[in-house]
Amino acid sequence: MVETLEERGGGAYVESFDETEEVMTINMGPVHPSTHGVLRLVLELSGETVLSCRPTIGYLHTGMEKECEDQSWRSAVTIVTRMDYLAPFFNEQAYSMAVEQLLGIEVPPRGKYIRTLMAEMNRLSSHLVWFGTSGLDMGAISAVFYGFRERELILDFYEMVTGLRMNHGYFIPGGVWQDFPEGWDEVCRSITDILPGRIAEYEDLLTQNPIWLERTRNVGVLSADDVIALGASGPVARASGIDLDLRRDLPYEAYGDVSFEVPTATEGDVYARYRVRIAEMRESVKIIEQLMDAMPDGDYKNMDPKLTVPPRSELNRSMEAVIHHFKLVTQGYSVPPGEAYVPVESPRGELGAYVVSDGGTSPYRCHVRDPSFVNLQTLGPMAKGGLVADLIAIISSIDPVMGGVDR
Amino acid sequence: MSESFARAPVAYVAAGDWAARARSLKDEGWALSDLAGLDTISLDSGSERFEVVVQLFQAGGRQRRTIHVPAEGEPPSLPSAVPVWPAADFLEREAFDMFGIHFEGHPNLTRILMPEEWVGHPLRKDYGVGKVPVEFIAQPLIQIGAPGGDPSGGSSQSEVDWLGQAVNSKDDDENGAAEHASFARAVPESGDKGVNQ
Repeated sequence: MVETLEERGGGAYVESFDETEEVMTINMGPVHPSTHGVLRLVLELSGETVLSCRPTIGYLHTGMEKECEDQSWRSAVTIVTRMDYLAPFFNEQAYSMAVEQLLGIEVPPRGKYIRTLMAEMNRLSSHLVWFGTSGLDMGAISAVFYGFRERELILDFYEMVTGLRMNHGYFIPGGVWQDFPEGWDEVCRSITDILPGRIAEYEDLLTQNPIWLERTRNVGVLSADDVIALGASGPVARASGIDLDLRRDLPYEAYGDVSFEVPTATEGDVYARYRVRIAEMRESVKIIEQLMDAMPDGDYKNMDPKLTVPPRSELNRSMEAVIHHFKLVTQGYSVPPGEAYVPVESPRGELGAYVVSDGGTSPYRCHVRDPSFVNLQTLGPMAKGGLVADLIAIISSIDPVMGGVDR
Repeated sequence: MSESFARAPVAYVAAGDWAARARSLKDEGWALSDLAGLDTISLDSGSERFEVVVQLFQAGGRQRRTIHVPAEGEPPSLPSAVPVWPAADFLEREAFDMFGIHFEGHPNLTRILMPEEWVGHPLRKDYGVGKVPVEFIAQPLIQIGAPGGDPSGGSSQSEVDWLGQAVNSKDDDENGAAEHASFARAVPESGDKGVNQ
């Protein structure tokens, strides 16, 4: 075997093979179905055991932070929404809230409720993708059918509300760009009625499944100290007993008005992360139901004419509206100089937007602290000493989205 | 604005004090949540051009604070926070990659998002945005990496293309810079003839 590798100049995947130590360095990825995107791992293996695992990223880097600096404050939303593409509303939410903080404006209650509801829907749809792909990675292929089936209902709801299935650009600084359409509550109710039963079905499929337990329990254990040291957040942190949830700790938007639990576990293994995410889905359904019942009437965005385009009907009769419209479309509004960092709790953890303004009409700096990017640092410590097959389980339990990692 | 998002207190720490200050902050229970580079070239910050902006939170997640650390010297540098908070590893590599800020003591300070052979630091304000300029006048095309030939019509003194990438068409093609320069479509004859014409 060694001769063959030498003949092939190391081979396509094997970078080096030390005959004496029997340590093999191989590439996993960047194109590999179970790496959840273009994640490349450089593995040092001794047989099946992982000695070290080094993530190599940047394959999806498109310079979105730089692009934001060239957009108006309003249109940079359309860039940030493409970062973590499974959780687009959270990107928009963090960015919009940071700009609102710089502007010193308030979102009307209905705008806050709409944003919170859409964000929780997004948590569901993101966790459903995690559920499906996670099952797929570990041989429970039917999980992906069920997960994507329910996700489709939620994507239809997005399409109804925003016109798009992903990369919505729906949240804007000041609120959302259009109100919920008529009949939204029936569609929303049908989703919240269906999901608890479906989540129970998922649990029937996996929670007590002996193969699933074998693959996930005591695999990829991360201690609470490691979580804090490596900066992990979200379900990865909560499964290791770190009880951090920004929705509860810094109740932003409408989270102060709803009651929900923050599921945690202490084992810190892949199975604990599975249980935390499943429990989070149930809590999200509860939050959505409460928000629907208490949805206030009124404006859905800040109606300051200097910040938001006037309604179409106004343009026909008001010269002032035409001027505002012209100014906003050609130039956009300017934001007072300053900086703001606003974190929100995305399905993967703390998603923060650090926005700097120099007083101009476009962001001076728009940095997004993506949870996948930081959580990926836990991969090496978790994979060390495990098997290659465990590594697959660990990657899907971190649930990284490479669009967010590379930006 | 909700009270929970009242602006986090901002402090400036000199690069020389940063290592000691980071350690004492960690002992006070502060954990690192974010670290980002910032090019203050057109802000009236009154300090060094490059800064590192660190977001910290205290266990429990309610307390937050922001710390600016100006990077001094050429290349701009400051002590790494990785020995204190290992979470800073990827974030400092990103700041190095995007701004060219050097973190002294970082275990593996290499590019993280851009290719390793990339020239320049994209998020610096003097780095081109990367638009393809709209030209209404005939422009000499540079043909990059044409085997064994001079770039036809391209002026020999243009060593960087519009992306700011080095154009080494005369060097061997294995040079990574030549590969990136193949994005170049055309260069203006002089700097004056830009997009706005």
